Amino acid sequence: MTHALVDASPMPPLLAVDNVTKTFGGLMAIRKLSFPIHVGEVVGLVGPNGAGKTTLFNLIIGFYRPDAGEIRINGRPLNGLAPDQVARLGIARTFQSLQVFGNMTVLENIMVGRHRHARAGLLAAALRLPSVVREERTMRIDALGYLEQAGLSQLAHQTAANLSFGQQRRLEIARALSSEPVLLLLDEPGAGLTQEEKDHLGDLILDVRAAGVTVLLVEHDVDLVMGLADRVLVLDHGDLIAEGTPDDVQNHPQVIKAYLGTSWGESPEHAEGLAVAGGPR
Amino acid sequence: MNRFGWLRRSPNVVAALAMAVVLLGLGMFEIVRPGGVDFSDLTGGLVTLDTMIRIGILTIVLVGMNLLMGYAGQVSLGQAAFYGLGAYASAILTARGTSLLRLPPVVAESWWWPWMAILIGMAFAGGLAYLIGRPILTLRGHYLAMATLGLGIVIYILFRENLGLPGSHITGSFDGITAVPRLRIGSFEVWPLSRYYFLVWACALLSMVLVLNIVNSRVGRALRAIHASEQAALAVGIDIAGQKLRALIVSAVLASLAGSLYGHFQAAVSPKPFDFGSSLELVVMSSVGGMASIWGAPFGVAVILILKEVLRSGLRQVLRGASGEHEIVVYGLLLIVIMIFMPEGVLVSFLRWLRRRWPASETIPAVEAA
Repeated sequence: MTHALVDASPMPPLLAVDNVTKTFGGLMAIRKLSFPIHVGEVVGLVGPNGAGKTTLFNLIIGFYRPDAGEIRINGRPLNGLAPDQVARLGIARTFQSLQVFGNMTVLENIMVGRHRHARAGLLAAALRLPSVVREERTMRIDALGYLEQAGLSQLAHQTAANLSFGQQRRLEIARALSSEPVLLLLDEPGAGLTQEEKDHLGDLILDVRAAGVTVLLVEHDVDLVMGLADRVLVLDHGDLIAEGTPDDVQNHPQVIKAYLGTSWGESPEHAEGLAVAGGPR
Repeated sequence: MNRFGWLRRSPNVVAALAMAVVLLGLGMFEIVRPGGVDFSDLTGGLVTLDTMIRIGILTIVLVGMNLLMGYAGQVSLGQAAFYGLGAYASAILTARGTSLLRLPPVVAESWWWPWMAILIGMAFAGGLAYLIGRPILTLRGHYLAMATLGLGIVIYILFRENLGLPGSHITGSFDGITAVPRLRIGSFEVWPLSRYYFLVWACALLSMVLVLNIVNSRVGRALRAIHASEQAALAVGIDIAGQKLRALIVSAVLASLAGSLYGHFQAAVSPKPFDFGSSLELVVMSSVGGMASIWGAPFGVAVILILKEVLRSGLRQVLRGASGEHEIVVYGLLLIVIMIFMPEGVLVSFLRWLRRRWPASETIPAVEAA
């Protein structure tokens, strides 16, 4: 997708980060950052450790509040909304450190994901009114659909805590997708996965994109981002130092400088090494 | 393929029916007395109908507590206060209806007034839970345990000190309130014990079914999600404070119902059963039965009540010269043993043991269902 075209449209972008600043005790984690994300895009957010990726992530989901500036979703400011309120607006996320509901079955995990699309209240649930029974039935069917998509159907009735690391990661993505998000935030989805699991993950993200879900992908693994993103944002020390297609960004002089003066993506090993080398030891 | 497939698909329905049949059988035993044998003879006098009623009453408290602690992961150390509120609400509204509240005899002496009093108590306990939980539950961490601990102590002192109003007789201080009337439906008195037993266990079974319905619903899943990961629960749009508040209110309302049933059972209330020690004992019962196990609740109560009874009567025979302090030591040791070997509660552990013994069995319910 060419964003020049979308920029020309009168529609506000799906997500607008507008002049956002966030400091922690004098340390400027994000400095006057502005960028849009448009409907249907897969945007990669990369940068060395400490670049401000996680801070930006937490600002979008409402975990932090910006010191200055504004974040808008479909033109509506998010400032001051709590994380659950942001989630109910249709922003779903996954966690770098896995956060599946280990005390529930895989299927129930997805059903929790559909929380915002169900209505059953306490009293109706206690009395198991016909409306609740109907809602449960459709919810279960919908949930099974999401498990199918994530390739977890076989495990539907397993306790989620018993799944492998890679399966739990897919479950988290399926749970986020089941909320039918307008924007899906993936926090380092490749972290800790084997190459085979990463390939699986890449396929899943491509499916997600084909279904029209807008994705913001925060990722260390440069290869993964380059293969999936329409557009890449590069953060360094809280500044947006480059923005463009994966090809543009890879050869951007400032990006090369930020990543220890080497160009990206020459070989997979090289890129991996860079991603790790970028962080403090 | 399997004629009894539904048994495994809806274990809760099966458990509810099985429990109803067993309870009905035990109750009928007392009424029919086949061959002159009555209920307590079955257990060598250890478990009487009186014990069964106490188990039923406390089961109602525990079911609510399990929703709050076992499923939502929120600790309450003052549940006896809500239990006491129910007991005192019923006692004050019925036994002091004409003298203190100046209710017209048409109301105070009607058969339905005590039932109204039960509902008023439940509403009051629920309202208080709302007032306490609303500010506390927006905070992260174990503030609820602290707040309920404080609440429990304050309420107990209010009961004991006549609400701090010397000269009047509202809670009756240490002596409490006597002459709490029996419950009636029209002219049918829900007494003697054999009738009251059915009322208590009908309420207990109903509260178990209602809470199980909650556990296996959108609300229950949200509570379990909060327990597992508050961050992830927020990320799927769950209003954490609101859901915890709901669980707290349910637990308070059920505790109050149980308290009212206790008041009408004893025909009197006094402050002692609602002190901090009782709140702790409820937590112990909940752990022994399995906090995240609704069907485990009556077993938790039964194990503790019977254990204490056995120690009281039996320890002296085994250990000559044993006193009350020895009882407490042995009781404590046994609790430790139970929690080491059955950390998920007696029922779940028993089911796990059955599963290990007969792995292929179709009729043993899934452990998760307990």
